[in-house]
Amino acid sequence: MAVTQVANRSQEDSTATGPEGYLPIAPNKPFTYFHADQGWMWDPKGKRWVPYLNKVIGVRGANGVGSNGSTAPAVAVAMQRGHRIIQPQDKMLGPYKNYLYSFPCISRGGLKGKHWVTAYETPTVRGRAVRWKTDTKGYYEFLAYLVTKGIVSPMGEDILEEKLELAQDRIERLAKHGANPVYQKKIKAAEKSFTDMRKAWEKQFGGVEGDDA
Amino acid sequence: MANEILYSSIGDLTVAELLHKELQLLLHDPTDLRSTMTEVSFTPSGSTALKIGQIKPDDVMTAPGEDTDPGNTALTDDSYLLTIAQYRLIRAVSDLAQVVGIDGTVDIAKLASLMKMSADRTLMTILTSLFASLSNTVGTTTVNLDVDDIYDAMFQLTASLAQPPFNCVLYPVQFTDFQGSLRGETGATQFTGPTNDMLALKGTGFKGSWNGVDFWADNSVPTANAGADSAGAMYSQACFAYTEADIVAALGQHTMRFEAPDGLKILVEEERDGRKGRTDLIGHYYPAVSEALDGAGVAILTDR
Repeated sequence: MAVTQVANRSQEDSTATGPEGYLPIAPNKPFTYFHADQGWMWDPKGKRWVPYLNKVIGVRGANGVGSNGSTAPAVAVAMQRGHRIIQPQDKMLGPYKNYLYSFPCISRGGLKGKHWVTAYETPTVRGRAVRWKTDTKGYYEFLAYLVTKGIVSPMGEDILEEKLELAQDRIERLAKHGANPVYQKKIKAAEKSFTDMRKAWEKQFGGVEGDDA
Repeated sequence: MANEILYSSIGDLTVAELLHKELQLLLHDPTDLRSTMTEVSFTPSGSTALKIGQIKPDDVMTAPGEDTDPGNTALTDDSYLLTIAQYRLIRAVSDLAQVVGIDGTVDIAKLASLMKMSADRTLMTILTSLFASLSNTVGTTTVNLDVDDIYDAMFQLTASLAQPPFNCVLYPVQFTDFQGSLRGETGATQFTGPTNDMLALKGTGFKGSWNGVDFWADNSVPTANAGADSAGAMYSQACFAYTEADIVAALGQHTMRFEAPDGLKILVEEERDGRKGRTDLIGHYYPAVSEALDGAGVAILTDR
């Protein structure tokens, strides 16, 4: 689904229905994804681990980005910290190449520009407000592709242990309210997640992590 | 009875509506997060970039035994860059608008004083954009923030050796989710709302404290996971550093300007275009914010 969506959308999307074809929202800056080794999230609905992608946002004055808008200094900082940079035009991204899209936009103050989002965000204009819908399924397919192709390193067992420790702490905190029926439900869900987390890791990365090291 | 003088019958003597002298503000975000960051003074030195060196001060000593050389211990060092960027905001007001404008509506001095709020918002937007760069994360994607996410963030920071007090800046929806979750909490830990003294100390937009953590809600908190989540953050003061180049000191004496309140480093100049009958008000601001210590912050990823 995500592949189709990417193929069908132009790099500069003008399908938004705003005044004179502009999205009624302030312009923002494009960004570049990167991945930190410890950046993993638990998806409770899909019962799986998914990588969390950080962003270097080209905001002038942020992390070394100067008046010329070049994100090179901020990208260099991320690289120095050992993070994996995922440039939008990286050929390894295959069908997910050029993950950034822009909409022509105009702020309430009349400032025109571009509003940058990922391929998985679709705007709807409601009066003066813009509502965004996320294609979570498509985005997770993109993330899965990054893992499958080795663009993102597999989740290490040490990272899993850290996450499990936080999950265990959470269960213990909740258990202090064990008499409360609302918390009993939460405790059950937290315990189920705790079990699922290790199982999912074994299924997704068991054996892979050792090879990577 | 006839010919009564009614409001509805003297249309030539009344106006449909009268513009009130008071100008009220539309919804906006006045949050000022300067107090959550480390301020670095900007000294003009021939570059827009300041490099700030960092060292690890507490290498443990060795005890190799009597008459044994313990060897040298290298200094663990790091650095970060603060590169100022040129920001401007222009308000162009025609003479006609000023001539017919009632006092206080299109008042040049008032517009100039509002530049401070624009500069504040600019700095906050730069800061919050960096939440998306923090390596450590807590929270559950597409699930509402709850008290346990805040505990997770505190534990993560403590494990990373970040020094309290911690500041927590959330997207407004994340903050309301937190408030909702607090309703179910029991025990001695209470949320303390902001007092006037605390607002004066911590800045506008401060929401209160809980468990030793100060809370803010800011509308510029970035999205995460393709817009499904917000990337709020909890961090110690050492996590982010900011600077503001003193444009007032550099140019103020040569430019017609309005006084910036609280010694803020914003230059507001007035440019007159007599041929067009227009006055331009130009605000200049040179800020920079950087992640000084990545480990001293943690992103809180929960449903937006």
